[in-house]
Amino acid sequence: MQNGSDDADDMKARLAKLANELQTRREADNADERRRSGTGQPDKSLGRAMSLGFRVLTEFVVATIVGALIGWRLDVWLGTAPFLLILFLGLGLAAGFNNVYKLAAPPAPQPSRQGEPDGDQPPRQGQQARQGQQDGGEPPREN
Amino acid sequence: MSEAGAAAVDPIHQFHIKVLQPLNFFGVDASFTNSALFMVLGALAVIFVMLLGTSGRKIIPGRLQSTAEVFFEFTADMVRQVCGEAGMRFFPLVFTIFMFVLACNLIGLWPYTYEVMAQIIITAAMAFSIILLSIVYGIYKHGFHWFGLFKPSGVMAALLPFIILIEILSFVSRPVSLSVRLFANMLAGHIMLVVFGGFCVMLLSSSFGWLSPLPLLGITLLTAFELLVSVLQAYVFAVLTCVYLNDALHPGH
Repeated sequence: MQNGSDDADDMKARLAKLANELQTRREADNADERRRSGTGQPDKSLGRAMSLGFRVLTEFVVATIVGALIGWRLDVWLGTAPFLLILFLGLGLAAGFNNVYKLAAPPAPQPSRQGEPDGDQPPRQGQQARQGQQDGGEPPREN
Repeated sequence: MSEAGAAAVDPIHQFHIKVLQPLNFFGVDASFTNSALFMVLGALAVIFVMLLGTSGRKIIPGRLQSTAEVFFEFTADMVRQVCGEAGMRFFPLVFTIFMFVLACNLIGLWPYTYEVMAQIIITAAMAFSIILLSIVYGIYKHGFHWFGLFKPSGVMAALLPFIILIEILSFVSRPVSLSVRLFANMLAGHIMLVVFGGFCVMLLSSSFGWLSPLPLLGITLLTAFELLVSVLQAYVFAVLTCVYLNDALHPGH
């Protein structure tokens, strides 16, 4: 407490020591995470596959059922049974295939996105996406 | 199996709505039920984690603060990836939905609790509100151009009416599939847990009691699986919310 410069030096040394410790800790954490993500890969891909599977199933089934329901109600309303039911069942089936196709197909490029009226910024991309998408065109989409 | 024994393992019984506090506002039945109670609990859990987690604001976060930060950054990354920077105006909505669904699902996994998301009216209300918001915002933002969503480019003129009809049908099926997915997953999972529990009880009361550890093992595995499904379905619900809101922000194929 008697010497001001001594105190500052002491503080600096402590800060440097802390920064050092933090650095080593962070590196250890990173290595740990990498190791864990290496072993945790099956779990992660299982989750992704399951979510995709549920999505494909529901999109397909629900589109078919919604088509059939619309056809059925229109038939009841217009008294044209069963033609509209058959027509809309087919259309619902097509919509279901369309949904599944959209899930599976890569998203179409959207060059018009930059010139939108709301003038939004090109989206900031995630770390993994940035490596693959240097040309800065289409942001990664989940659908 | 006797009547009472069959009733004890009725797998649907867990979803019964019980009125805890009858309320009536001008002829509208707004009773406080067990479903409402667990929705309140879910919301309170989210508020608890987020408020307490962000109250310290330490540079080196504690457990609760890390949890809050992980949730926030995970959702923010998801919204940015799917909708772009412009989608961040929907971040509060997506974050609320994600956290609420997640909290309700995780609370519902405990024994003697109630799974809110296994009621289709709840998931349907959320899904239809999201689609309604996406339609209203899309028309507000883009006017008539928003209807270009239904018209894919590069289609023969003769096929166009059919394609547009199909696109409209697949748009109409969106809120249904969004709600049915979450509802069906939660319903099926929780029914399965009770059915396996019922196997245990039935085996114990029969002469095959030594087999009863098998369904118990099944329940243990199923609970782990349900944990995965709960988190996964909350995530899928939030991602699809982003995808549908993205159509409002950026229509056109």
